[in-house]
Amino acid sequence: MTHFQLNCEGMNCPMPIVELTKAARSLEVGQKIEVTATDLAFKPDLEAWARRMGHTIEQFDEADDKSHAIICLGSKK
Amino acid sequence: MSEDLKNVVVILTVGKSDGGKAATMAFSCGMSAIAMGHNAVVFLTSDGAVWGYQGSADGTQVQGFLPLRELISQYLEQGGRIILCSVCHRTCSVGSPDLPPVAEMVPETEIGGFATILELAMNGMSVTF
Repeated sequence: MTHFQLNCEGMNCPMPIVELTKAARSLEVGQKIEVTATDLAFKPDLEAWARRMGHTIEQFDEADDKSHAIICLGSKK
Repeated sequence: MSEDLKNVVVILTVGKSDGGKAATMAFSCGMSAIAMGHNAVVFLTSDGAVWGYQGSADGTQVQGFLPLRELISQYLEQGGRIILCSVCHRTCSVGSPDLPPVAEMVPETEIGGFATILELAMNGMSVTF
C-alpha cells in the first residue's frame, strides 16, 4: 500500500504537527503517513502528538539533521 | 522521576531585561515543585530561551535568592528538566536562522516544541513567568 507522503522540511514548530493533523484528517484509520522534517523538536513533538491522538509511530530515523517517520493512523484524528 | 506524579510546567519567557528576576522565580518555582513531589519542567521560550545556554546565568543574582547559575544547577541535580524551544534555539537566540546554532546549551537541556509542552501540561499544570 502506498503511504501518504508529507514533506515538512524547512518548517518550524508547530507547523509539522499542524500539517500532520491536516493529512490525518483526510485519511482513514489504518492508513499510513510517511513524513520528513527538519524541525529540532520534531521527534518529541511527534511522539506527544501520536500518544495524544492515538496514532502509532511505526518507524523513526534521523540522518543529516533530517527526520523520517512512518505513522499508522489510529481512531482519534 | 515517577511517571504517576503530576507535571508542573514552568514557562519562562523573560530574558535578561529584568536582571534575571523572572528566571530566578521560574527556577525557584521548579525547585518548589520538586520539593512538593512533582515532576518539574522549565520551558525556555521567547526571550527566556537565553537561559538555555552555557554562561548565560553567570553573574546573575537576585537579592534573597541563590545565584541563578547555582539555582539552575541545583534544580537539575534534583531531577528538574529544562526544555528549550526548538524554534528559539534555531532562530532567536543564536543568530541567523540559516546558520546552525553556535552557542553551547546547558548540560541536560532538551529541545522541545509546543506539542511536547502541551502534553506535559495536560498531565499537570503550568505556571508562566
